[in-house]
Amino acid sequence: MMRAEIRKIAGYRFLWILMAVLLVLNFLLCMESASQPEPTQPREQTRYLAAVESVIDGAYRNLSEFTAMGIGTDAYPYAYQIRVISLYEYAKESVTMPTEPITGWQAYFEYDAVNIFIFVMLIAVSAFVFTQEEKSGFMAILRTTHGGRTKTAFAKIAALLLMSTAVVLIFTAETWIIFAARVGFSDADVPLQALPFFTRTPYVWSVGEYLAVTVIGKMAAGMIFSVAVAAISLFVYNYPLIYAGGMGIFGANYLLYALQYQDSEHPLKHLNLLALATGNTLVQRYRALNVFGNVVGYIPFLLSMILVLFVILSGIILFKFHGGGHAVQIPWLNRAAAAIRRGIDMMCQKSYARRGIRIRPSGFLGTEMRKLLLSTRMIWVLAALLLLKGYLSVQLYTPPQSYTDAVYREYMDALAGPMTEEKRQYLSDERAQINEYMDRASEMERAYYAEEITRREYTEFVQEYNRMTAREAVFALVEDRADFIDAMAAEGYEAWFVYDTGWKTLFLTGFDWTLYAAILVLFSATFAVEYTSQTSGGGFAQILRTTKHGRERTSRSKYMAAILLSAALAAVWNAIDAARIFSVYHMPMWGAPAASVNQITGAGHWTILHLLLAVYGLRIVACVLLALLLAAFSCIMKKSISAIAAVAALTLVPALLAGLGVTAFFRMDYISFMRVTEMMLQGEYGNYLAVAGIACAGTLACAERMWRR
Amino acid sequence: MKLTINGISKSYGNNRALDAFTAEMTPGIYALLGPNGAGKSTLIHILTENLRADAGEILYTDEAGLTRNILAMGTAYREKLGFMPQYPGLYSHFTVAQFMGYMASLKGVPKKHAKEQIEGILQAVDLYDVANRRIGALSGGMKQRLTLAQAVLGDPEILILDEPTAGLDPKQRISIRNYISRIAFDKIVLIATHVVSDVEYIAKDVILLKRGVIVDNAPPAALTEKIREKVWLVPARAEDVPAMQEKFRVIRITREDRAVDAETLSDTTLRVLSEERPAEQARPAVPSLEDYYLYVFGDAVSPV
Repeated sequence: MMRAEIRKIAGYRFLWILMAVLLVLNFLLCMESASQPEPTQPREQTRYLAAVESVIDGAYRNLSEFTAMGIGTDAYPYAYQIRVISLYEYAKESVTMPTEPITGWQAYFEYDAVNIFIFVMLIAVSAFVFTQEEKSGFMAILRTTHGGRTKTAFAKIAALLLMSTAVVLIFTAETWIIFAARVGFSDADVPLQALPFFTRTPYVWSVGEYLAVTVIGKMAAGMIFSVAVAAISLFVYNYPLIYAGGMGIFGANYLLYALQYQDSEHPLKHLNLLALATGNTLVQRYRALNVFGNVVGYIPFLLSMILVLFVILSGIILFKFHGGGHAVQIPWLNRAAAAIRRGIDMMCQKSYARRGIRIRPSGFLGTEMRKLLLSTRMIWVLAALLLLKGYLSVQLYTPPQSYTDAVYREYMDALAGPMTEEKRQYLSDERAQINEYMDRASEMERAYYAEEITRREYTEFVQEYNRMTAREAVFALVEDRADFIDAMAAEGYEAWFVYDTGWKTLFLTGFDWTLYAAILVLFSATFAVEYTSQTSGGGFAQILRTTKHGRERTSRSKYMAAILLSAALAAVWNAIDAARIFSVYHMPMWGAPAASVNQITGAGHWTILHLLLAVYGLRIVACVLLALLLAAFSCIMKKSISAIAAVAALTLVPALLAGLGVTAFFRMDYISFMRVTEMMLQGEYGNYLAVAGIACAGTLACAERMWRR
Repeated sequence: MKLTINGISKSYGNNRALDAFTAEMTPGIYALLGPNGAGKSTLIHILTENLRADAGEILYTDEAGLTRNILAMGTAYREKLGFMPQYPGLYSHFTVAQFMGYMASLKGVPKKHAKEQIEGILQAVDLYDVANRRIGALSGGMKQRLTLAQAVLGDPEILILDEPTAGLDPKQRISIRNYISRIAFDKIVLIATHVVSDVEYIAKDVILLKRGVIVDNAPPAALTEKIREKVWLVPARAEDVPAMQEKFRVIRITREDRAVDAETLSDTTLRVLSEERPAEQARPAVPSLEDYYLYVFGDAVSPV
């Protein structure tokens, strides 16, 4: 029976599409997080031992204070310190620090975004388990059979546990593989304490053993979360409410987990599902709770609570599923919903009465856009991604509040514009002033020790000297720009002094994975929507293709809808970034030569505005090509998920290989293509555009042939 | 106007779905009958150009006598086609009116005629009052009628209907049957169905298909004539029914409240297909198309 339950859930295409999208998103985030190799040199053994001994000494000091305060040896505070001493004494004896640098593990354990994708996937899976049969009407049959109640409930819970385990393992394996490929892992048979974050952990585990612990933690968190969402589903039998409930549980746990930014010692920060799934803060150091005077570590406490919760939730599921399949009625909610429905009906009736039944032939383009956005209900996914995009944009684009940037802006504002003789003089004077201060340092030191100047005079000098040292570092950059401007002038190009912090941020934004995901989910349905059917009989394509305009004109409209919608999406997404950056950064001198922006070389005689238009225009072209490719694959493969898989493979695998240094794929890296700036300035954009254009045209021709045939 | 199907064959791997299917159709209703897997859907999908045949050709002859291959005609052929599949995926968020408007655009119905045509068709299939309702909110029967409505939109010359009355209640079924009969006057209408009674009185010709091969192709009256004196009404006692089922092909069992024969105390009437009189008290019955269908495909019918 459990196998049948798994088969039922696995049969839902929506879950596979969601899984594919979430895996792609996790892939992209992993690629970003694992981009910097970071070999870490572990602490020396003596330094580690000194750190542990300081913990033990602290515990002994606390014990002495407790004794002095008259706290008994059986009291919780006393017992806690005893436990700390025993654990850290054992760690001190057992841990031997390695001498080799450690690669990959710290970054891997710090990457906790994967948990978000796991929990989102589990909400979708758990929502289906009981609700699918209620919605399809099969529940009425199921519950009349011999094993249709208790046995089925057990089978469903077992299937849910297995599927949540599978989800955890798939996402964890993907993350591990990407980190292994991008950064690489050093030997896992070293103590966990060798990683900087875990220096004070009392647990004597190797890094490999901790990896297993984190997987088990994720599985336990995933299982209890799935069962909780399934229990909710039995009370409402309504997908939006189940998703809201699941998101509520996830959101509450996430908020508790985020307490680390407010109060790192609050127990709830560590005793929640996100903390269990991540593991790090639970093992970072020893923490315990007072349970009836006993010292109970966070880990055993959390695992016990999970077990108790699991039993309670399973009991609720069994009881509810056995007792009755109907949703719990909430009278006020029902009344409110009925009132809203009545209101809408009245509005519609008035509207129809006013204008009668509106029957008119519809435009092809508008209809295709409607189908894409409404038939697939993707408009909600787009709305969610748009919100996420706005949030990320606010988080990512915050101007630096550093002294260095303030000095840089001061210099650039003073020098703003083309190089002139006055500016050369300014640079020369500034250099002379800085050097003078620098050169006076040893003289002032000597004078101070010789008591030729007062302490106050010397302190003022040191303060000014420190300020000058910081300015000198920035001024060196300004001088580099001056040299660059002269070099450009010698080559016949122009570059100015421009405060370019904002421009650099604008031109060198990272890969926009929310836009990529939006295009992926939206346009994979371009043709697949016509093949979607509740039965084996086929979708609307069989009617569409028999009509006069159902082939050529419809496909033209579909591709045109893909072009217009993808261009609009790209414009909106880029406008969000641009609006944020323009609102918080100082963005001077649009008309300056593009080469005035640091790191922007190879833009010829273009101004910043020209470059901006080109970059944004090409980003839109990149999105349009991606949308067309998806539309074509959607026609060839007739299924959204297959189209997503094919296009994700075509675009991301080359990017991965390029990231790993396989030079053959440097010109086929779609991620750089979508970011535009670097590829364009390296003169590679035309090459990739040609490759992408040819691939797209070939696929379109093939798709057209299939659709028209 | 004529549709000539010449030796159409289609295989899926080793499975021969259609084997040299040949027929000629002129305006009127044609019924395509056959058990599941007979090749009806394959033929329909080839006729609607949703599928390519492995061999053979379909020719369309217009009023002027010009004959062309439908594949060469392309859009010109599809302009003349109306198709109602058995399980279409409709756009659930469209209203009925929006959907019909879209279909009018797809079929190239001129704007000035579209509204009038759509209103007429929606009234004929009893969907006018729900024209502003979302398709997702329609009942199964309403969706079925909407699928028929889109098929007849644009006044197509060739109408191909796959199970047009499936899921309809008896009143709706009769109403739709009459509607099809009425509009079929100047059209070639091909109806694939399992409900033999739907086509018995309206079909010009009945094509019986079995494992991809035409078993028979004749007007209903000619087909039923073939089993005259082979359909019998046999009075029997309830306890004798299993024995009769073993011995003869029983196609209907009717239990009565009282004895139908005072002498034998029979309380049941059996409709039996038999080359010879099955019992002394058996009376010959007027054969129906359903009887003939069971006569031909009876090997697939097992007693329950």
